[in-house]
Amino acid sequence: MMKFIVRRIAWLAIMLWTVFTISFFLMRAVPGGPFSSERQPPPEVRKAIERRYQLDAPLWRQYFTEMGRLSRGDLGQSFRMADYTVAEVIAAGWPATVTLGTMALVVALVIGGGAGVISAARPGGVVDVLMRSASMVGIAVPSFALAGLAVLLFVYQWHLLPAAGWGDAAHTVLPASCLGLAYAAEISRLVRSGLLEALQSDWVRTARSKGAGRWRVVVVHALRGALGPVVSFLGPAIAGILTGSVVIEKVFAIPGIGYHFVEAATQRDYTLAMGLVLLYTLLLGVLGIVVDVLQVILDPRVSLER
Amino acid sequence: MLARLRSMVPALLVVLVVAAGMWAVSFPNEPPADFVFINGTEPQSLDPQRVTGQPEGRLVGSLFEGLLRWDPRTLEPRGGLAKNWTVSADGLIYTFYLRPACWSDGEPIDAFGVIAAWRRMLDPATAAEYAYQIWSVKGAKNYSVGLIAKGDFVEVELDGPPVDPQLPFARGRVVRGVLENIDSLDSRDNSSLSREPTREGFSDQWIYTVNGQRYAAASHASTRTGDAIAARCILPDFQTTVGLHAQSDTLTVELQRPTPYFPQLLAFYPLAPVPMHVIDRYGSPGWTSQKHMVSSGPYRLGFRRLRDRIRLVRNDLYWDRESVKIGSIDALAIESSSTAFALFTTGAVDWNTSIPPFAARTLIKRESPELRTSPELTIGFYRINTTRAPLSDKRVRQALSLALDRTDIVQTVFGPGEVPSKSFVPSGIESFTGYIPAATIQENADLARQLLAEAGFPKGKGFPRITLSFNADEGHQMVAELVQAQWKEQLGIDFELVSMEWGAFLHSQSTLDFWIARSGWIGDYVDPNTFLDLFVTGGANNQTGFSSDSYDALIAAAADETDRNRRNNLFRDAEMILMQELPVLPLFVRTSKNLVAPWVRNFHNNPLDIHPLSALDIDSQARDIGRRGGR
Repeated sequence: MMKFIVRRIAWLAIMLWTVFTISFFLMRAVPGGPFSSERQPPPEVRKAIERRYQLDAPLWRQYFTEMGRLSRGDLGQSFRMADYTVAEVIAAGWPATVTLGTMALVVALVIGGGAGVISAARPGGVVDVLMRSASMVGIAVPSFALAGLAVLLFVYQWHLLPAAGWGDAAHTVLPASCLGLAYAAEISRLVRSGLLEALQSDWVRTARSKGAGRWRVVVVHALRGALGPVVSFLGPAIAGILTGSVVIEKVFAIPGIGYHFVEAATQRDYTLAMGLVLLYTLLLGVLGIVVDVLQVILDPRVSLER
Repeated sequence: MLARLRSMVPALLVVLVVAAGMWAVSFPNEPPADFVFINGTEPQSLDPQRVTGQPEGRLVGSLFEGLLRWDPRTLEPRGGLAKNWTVSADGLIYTFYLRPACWSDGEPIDAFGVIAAWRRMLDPATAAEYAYQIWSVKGAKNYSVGLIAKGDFVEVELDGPPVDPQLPFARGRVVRGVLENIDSLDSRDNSSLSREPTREGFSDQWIYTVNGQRYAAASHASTRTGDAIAARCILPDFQTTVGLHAQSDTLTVELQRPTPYFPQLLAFYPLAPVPMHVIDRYGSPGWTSQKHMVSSGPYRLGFRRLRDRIRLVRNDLYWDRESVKIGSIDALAIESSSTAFALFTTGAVDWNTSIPPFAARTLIKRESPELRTSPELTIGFYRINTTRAPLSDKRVRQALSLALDRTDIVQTVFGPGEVPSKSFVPSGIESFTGYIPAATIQENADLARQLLAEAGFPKGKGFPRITLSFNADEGHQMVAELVQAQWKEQLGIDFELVSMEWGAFLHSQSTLDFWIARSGWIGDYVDPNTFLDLFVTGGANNQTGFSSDSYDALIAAAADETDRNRRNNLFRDAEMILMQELPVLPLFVRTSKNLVAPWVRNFHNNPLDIHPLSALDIDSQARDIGRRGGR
């Protein structure tokens, strides 16, 4: 297993470098720069600004300077939020994003898992059809529409929850639900199909023949076998959730890192955009490894050696 | 072992989910401030010398006191750090008498500190975008741009640690003297310089001799520079070339040319002095952190949470603390205008600075008392690329302007009460400056068709298909669609609309890679110059290719004119040329829109949309009822 992990980490390093290189040149190929504004300063001032940020150096030199800096673990200073380093921006946004993401995951797992189990218990029944339709809608409806509807009902209509902001538990209810429901929909479908497959298997038949009750068979025996696809799905899902949701963070004014993603790109905040892209790559890579290791632990049929 | 782990997984998962859920809902409790407002985007910085935007201005203007400050009602400059000032008869020498004041850490503020702060702003290493706001001071531009020539008296900032170890981020040691020679770095062609390095900024291509000692850029390899001493920068000597002089509590400012709006500039937030004793100790941006920042204004920094809020707390050492009513203020960094609107309508916010267009139209129709509107010194207009045919033909530009129905545009897009433009300088300027804009814009479709025919395109026949570009935005799109329809109907010309991403859009304008593009301009100060000097030949914000010798001459003459009437006349003649030539199509004067809760007092409308937080007051009883009940 160690050999497998080491090899994957080496691949991850190569992946990071590739992503860095592509992003670096893509960002600079796009017209406009971090200091474009509708209000042009005199050319002399512009030159001083470009010199300060070394944007006047030839591209290849900028590339190697930035690569050297990043390889030392220094993500640099944000261009647009000049008082902060990229590391500080991520550190400041991370808690809100992780909190929101965790709650969304809890929502997704509880609702999605529950719905999947109930669906699978009587496949083709009325409850199953209803659940499956609901999950289809959940996957199809974009989160901004869901968020808009939620604000309309819970904020304007019933005055139950705060409209937006961050600070106490009430603030998390709407965004976490809106974010979690889309994942719940996916999870319920995965759990359902996994369960149905597991229920056909030999070990379930053995459990049944030993006299285990219907719910015990489903929840204790079959569910464990059905978790495989869910765990595979959770790897990228967690990476996605941990890097924040652009739409949800904007609508509910949550100071996470998701919104920075888009802002950094549109404002040409080179350092911040690069930092976030690399962070996302790293998270995806690491969670991919974790999922593979977890699969081995969960399923005796899976092995990491070739 | 693996088997044991396997059997534990479901239990572990449950524990993990429960623990995560519990951790996620544990929040530190933070009561809201006395006054909460929507500040728009997260500010670029809290360093007054490094910011340019309105959200930044609201904060920086409350944290830092300028020499002067704007009266929120009349926008007249009043005493800030300076208790009064005098101007010489020729308008060139200003003398400011400072009042006793100190930073929020108790350190006194004197005239030397003001000069040190402005020197930092002018230093090219600071890269202050608004540095040009004090270029009207004698010698300031040369210092800021770093122009030096043989024979100049210069200052050399040496590389290496500053003299005082307590101030690790202060400037290096400074040597002053006459610049005797500039040599090529490369010894091989020492004799014959291909290019004479005169009147140029400090560069690592040359070796500079000052008072017999050779200096070279610190960034350069020492092997090639020989005995030269490493220098960070060489600039014109600040003490002798820049017109700033201090005498404990008296500051004398010598201007390059009379600048009637100079006192207004001093009330503008970028020129507020910064605490050099803190900057030299903690560096930049380190000094702007919650831990280190000290301020001089009505408020000091309570805390700042990135993209959430910045808390301001009343500064008990502020010279005018008695007049500051509100104890603590939260500035929310919220970009989405519909989110901001929801927060205001539910009573969580006392002042909303950004209103979604759909809500604004409804509120205007309903004449909501919470909506405060005022014509701004801001113009929405279209730029025309005059370097491209057929737009290079004046008659075509005039036809495009004549064929528009501006009233229809503003009524449809913004709702009633908005003002279509008849001039480039917004009309609201008159009551402040006496300047009457050249309101010569006419709308006459028949004349438009006639001019277009004279230009060779009768009924639009043969007119090339060109583009009208704007940055992606619902409002800009609506305006562009109306303009497109009007031109098609009246002139028979079909424009293609191009919606562009912001960065690419700006790039296309600055490189003159467009046909017609939307634009806007917010006045920096209340003076026609802030609008009219945009279009001098080669101006960084010209971006139309427009160039007129007589226009340039009029703007230059106005800069030297001290008599208000004569100066206004010069500007008026210039604007007449602009409205004849029409490198721009003025569309409408923008109206500021603020939603202000009924319990907020002393909120004054003004054409710069400036509302100093220190002037506001709240009826806290009414607020508590309003906040609880929502609206």
